[in-house]
Amino acid sequence: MNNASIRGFLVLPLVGVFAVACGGGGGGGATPPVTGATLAGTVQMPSVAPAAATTGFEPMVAGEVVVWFEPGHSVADLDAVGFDLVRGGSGPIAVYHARSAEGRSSWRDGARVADCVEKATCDAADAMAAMDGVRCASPNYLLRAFVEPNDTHYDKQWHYPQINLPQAWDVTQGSQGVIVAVLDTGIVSAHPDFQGRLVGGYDMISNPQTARDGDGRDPNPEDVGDLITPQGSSFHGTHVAGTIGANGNDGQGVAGVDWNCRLMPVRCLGQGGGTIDDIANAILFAAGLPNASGVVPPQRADIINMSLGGPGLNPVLEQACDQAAAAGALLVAAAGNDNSDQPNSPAAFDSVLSVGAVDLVGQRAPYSNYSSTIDIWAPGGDMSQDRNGDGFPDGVLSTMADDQGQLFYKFENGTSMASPHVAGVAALVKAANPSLTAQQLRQVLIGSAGGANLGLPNNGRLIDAFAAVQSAAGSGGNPVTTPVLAVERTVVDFGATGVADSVVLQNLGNGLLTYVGGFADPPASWLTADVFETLANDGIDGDRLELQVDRSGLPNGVQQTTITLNYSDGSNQVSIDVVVRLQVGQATVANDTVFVLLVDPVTLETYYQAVTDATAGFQFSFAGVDPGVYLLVAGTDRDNDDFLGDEGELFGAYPSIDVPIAVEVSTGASLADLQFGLQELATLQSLGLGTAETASAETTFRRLY
Amino acid sequence: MRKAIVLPALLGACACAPTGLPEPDWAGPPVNICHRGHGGLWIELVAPTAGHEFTLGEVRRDGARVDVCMRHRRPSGELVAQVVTPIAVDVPAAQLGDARTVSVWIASDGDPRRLVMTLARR
Repeated sequence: MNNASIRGFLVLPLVGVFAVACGGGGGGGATPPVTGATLAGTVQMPSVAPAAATTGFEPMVAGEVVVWFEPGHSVADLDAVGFDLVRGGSGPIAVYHARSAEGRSSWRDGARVADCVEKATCDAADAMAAMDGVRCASPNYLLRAFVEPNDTHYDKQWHYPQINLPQAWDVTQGSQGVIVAVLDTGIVSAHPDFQGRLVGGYDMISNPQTARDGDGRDPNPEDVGDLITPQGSSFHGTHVAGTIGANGNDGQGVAGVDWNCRLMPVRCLGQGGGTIDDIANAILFAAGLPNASGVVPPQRADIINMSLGGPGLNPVLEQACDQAAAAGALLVAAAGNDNSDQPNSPAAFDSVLSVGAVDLVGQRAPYSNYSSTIDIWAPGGDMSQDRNGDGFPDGVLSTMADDQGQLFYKFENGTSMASPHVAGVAALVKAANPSLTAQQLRQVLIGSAGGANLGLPNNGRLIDAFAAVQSAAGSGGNPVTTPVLAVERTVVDFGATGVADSVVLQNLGNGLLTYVGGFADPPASWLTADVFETLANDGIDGDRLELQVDRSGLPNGVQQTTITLNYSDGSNQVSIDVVVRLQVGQATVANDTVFVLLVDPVTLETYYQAVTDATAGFQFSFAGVDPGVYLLVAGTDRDNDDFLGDEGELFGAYPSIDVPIAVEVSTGASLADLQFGLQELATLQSLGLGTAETASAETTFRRLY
Repeated sequence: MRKAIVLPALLGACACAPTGLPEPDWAGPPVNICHRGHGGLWIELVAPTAGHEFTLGEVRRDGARVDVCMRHRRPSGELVAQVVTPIAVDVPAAQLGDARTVSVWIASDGDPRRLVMTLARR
């Protein structure tokens, strides 16, 4: 059970061919892999129990104070009586040692808070901040790198950095005292990412035919499959539960939002969906209220996730939701996938937190509803895109199973995937401050949400995990006293034409956060990156990273780099992936010869070939083409084996490799401006993800000469 | 170093209908169509949620053209999982015969069929 692998993305078909005619929508688009993105960072597990309230201090260099001078002032003119200069002299920053801190012990070693070295250091920093010529001062805190779990496929879970989860995991990774109910198709309990995490649930499906487990309501919520498509069962509840609470930092699979909460599976979706009766009773069960099963759980759920819905406002369902909320549970539901402004049950009820879906760049996902009843937005993905160029569709990656009993991981997209992000963050918030009521929990989640600049419908806000747990901790838990660097987005995609962009930087924590200059690794030669301004303590003053791309020296294909910003002592880092795509006809420098082919879309036999290169501006043309339907592809043959698109070679298809569309050529027709991009390819095997399905999806294109 | 390309299913789809055929008027969920190497057709409905049904109905041949009629049923009043769910159906090559043109229609929830697209076969 420990070798579950990623599946599903290889067999995802092309998407979007008729997106305009059919109103858009996300499906299962797959993209050939390119060189993988990297995330920089060091894993350090926090040593303090997350929910334990303390009155102490964050780690710091005893006695040291960091000073930032006003313009025109420096070490030379500071009247720093009682302080010794440790380092500095050029530039605006210097470090002093406070003599008042000498001879004192740490509060961690038992010293009284009033007498400890940390208190003396903080007082010294306050004193220096008040001196003439000093803009600000701070204890020289020891900052930690954000927690990043070691789960095998965590690097593909772009949806977590998007909502500042790594920063949140520095504060809390959840608590076993919090229960999240998953009202869904059940859970495949054998999945390795759920071991030790499940509490008793219930199978509330009353119809044995739709339940497919041979009986009606029973205490076993195991997901036996719903057989919703000819391709098999959805195992939807297993995917949703994995996002909420898959085991994190366990060296395998994926991470969930909350690594410690307990999951309560309540099965209420069977073949074809669920009935009002079954779902209403499932809500009552999860909330510990009397229900048709005659059973209530020993401990009710704190949070109830419902990645389900239907049109209209059903009064029976609303009653169940209202009663569950009154009993103290926070109800979270998917807003719906109809690309509509119409409200859905149960998401639209006042007693339910309604969640819309955003894509990888924080825009409303094309399928997501946008009703004014939506309370908050979260990552739901858009599998018709690969905006970060990692070779995988931009879905939410989580736990999965199939009808043959195999356990693996799969990308999915939908508001079903957005809702569990919010439920998981709610569980983290509850862990950070167990005293919060469901209503307070709701207020914290909404009040701390960010993304004001994303332009989401109805001024919607994107959930911010770190801001939420920090806000909760500040109201009774363990407040964050150190600065925390964050960015509004972790991917910048310049596409085929963009040359400049900027990313707003934020200090989500408290205390001074200063840019120390440079980057963890030098940016790629084609990228100019500059940090403007200095972050203020409030962290929302619009400081930004300016990015500029020089396309003149780039070869065809996708270029990708990661830049990592260093703040304060260098341990406060954040990484941003930058992607640039060059198109045939736009590249100006390359040593490659590009072969452009017209091939049979069925047999893939090559009928016509054109050859182009940089000297021709990568322009191509065909003449004398017989009428018919052709696939237009292009690529390099760097290994000279007559086949295009091998590993390490450039390859593309018209109009894009994601969605190749055959071109119809009629008699005497003249088709111009057929532009499309090339990408450098890597095999799935080279990424360590190869499966048997790879072979069936492989395709080769042969050049004629 | 061969066989490194991993493409999504390749297709031969042309959005324009040959002269004399009706214009596409399908307005439901997105549909993707792909020619199979063995001469069959692969038709996928990208359903916005779980609970949709998409099946092959009638295949009617008329000389050099063939009408492929699909049946689509939306979720019937129940609450369903809000996950985008592609549903793919294979149309065997034998049913298409040697037709040179394929029109794909969908009849949704008993409504009159609507044309999704017309494709040329090789």
